[in-house]
Amino acid sequence: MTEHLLIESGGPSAGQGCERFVEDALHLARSGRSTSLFLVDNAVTAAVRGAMPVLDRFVGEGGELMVDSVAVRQRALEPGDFVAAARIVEMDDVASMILAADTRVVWH
Amino acid sequence: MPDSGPLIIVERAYRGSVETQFADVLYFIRELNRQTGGLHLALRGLTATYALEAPSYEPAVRLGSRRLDTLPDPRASIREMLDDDAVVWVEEPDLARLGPTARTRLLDGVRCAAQGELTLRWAEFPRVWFM
Amino acid sequence: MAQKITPTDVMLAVYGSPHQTELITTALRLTQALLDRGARVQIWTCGDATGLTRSTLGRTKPRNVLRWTTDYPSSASVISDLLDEYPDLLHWYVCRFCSDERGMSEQIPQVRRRPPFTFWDHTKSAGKLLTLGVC
Repeated sequence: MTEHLLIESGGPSAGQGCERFVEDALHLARSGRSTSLFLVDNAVTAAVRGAMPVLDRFVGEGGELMVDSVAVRQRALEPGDFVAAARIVEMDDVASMILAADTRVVWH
Repeated sequence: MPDSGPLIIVERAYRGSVETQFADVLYFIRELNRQTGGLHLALRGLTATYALEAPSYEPAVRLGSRRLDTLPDPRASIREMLDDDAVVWVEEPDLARLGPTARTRLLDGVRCAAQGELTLRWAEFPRVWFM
Repeated sequence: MAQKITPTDVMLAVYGSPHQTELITTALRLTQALLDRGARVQIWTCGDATGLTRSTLGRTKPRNVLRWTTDYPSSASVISDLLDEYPDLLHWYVCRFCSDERGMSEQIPQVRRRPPFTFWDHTKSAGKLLTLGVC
C-alpha cells in the first residue's frame, strides 16, 4: 500500500515544475515513506531513458514508477525505451490506489 | 525548394481529445495546405510524435455506455496531408528525446531535419507561422 | 438555506482549461475508472472548465465538412449523458463566479452552479480531493 501517490501530468516539456515535483517524490521516498509516482498525459515522456536523472534517483530510493498505458500509446512511445523500473498501468489501477484509505494523493 | 505555401510550425501537442475531436489544429492546416497549393509543416517538440507510427493506439474512450470513437487521430491527419503533397518535417533533437527507437517508427514520407536546418530556411518561405 | 452536499469518496477540482492539454480527457477517464469501482465522485469546475457544460454548446459540435454524416458530441452532451447514467454516484458542480465571469452562466440542467466560497464545504464532503490544473 503506497502512502503517497504523486501524479504528474505536464512532464519535462511543461517547464521546471515537473522536475520540482519529481524531486518532491524523491524527498518522500528518501525519507522512507512508501511513494508512487504516476506519469500521465505528456509526462509519460519523462520515463524515456535519460530524460530525467532525478527520476532515476527516485527509483533508486525505492520509489515506484508507473506510466499511463493510454498516454504511452497515444504518443507512440516504445516502453522498451523507458527506464527499466517503469511499470505500464491502466487507469483502473490508479483509481484503486486513489481509493485506498491510507493513500494521500497529490496531482501536479 | 518550397512553393508558395507557408512554413507552419506546431509545437503544442495533444490539446484535448474529448473536447476537440476532429477539430484539432491539423484539421485546419490540412485545409490550408489545399488552399495554398502546398505548405511545409514542422512538428516540433512533443508534436513530433504525430509523425510516429502508433499501431496500438485507438483514438476512442469509454464514458459510461458511450464509446466515443471520434477522438483526434493525428497520424491519420499527417498521412492525409502527405497524400495531399504537404511536406512534413520533424527535427532530430525532438526525435532523440522520444527514445532511441523513435526514428525507426517515422511515418513514410516524413522528412527529418538537423537542429537549426529548417530555421536557416525561414527566409525562403513567404510566411512562417506558429500554430 | 445552505444546499445539502452529497458526500463522495473523491472530488476532482478541475481548474485547467479545455483545449490546451489532455487534462479534461484524463479527468473523465479517471472519473470512469472510479465509477467502475462503485466510488462516489464529484467534479468541481473552475475557470474555463466551467464551459464544458454550458448549455449553449448544444448536443453536437459544428459539422465536420470532411465527414459530413458523422456526429461529434459536444462536451456538454458527453458529460450530461454520463451524469444521467450515474445519478447516484456522479455529481457535477460549476463555480458560479467563474461561469458568470466568462459569460457561461447557462448550464446543462444536470449540473449545479455553486458559489466559489462553498468550495471548502465541498472539500469536507469528499474523502479525497485532487486539484487538476490551474486557472
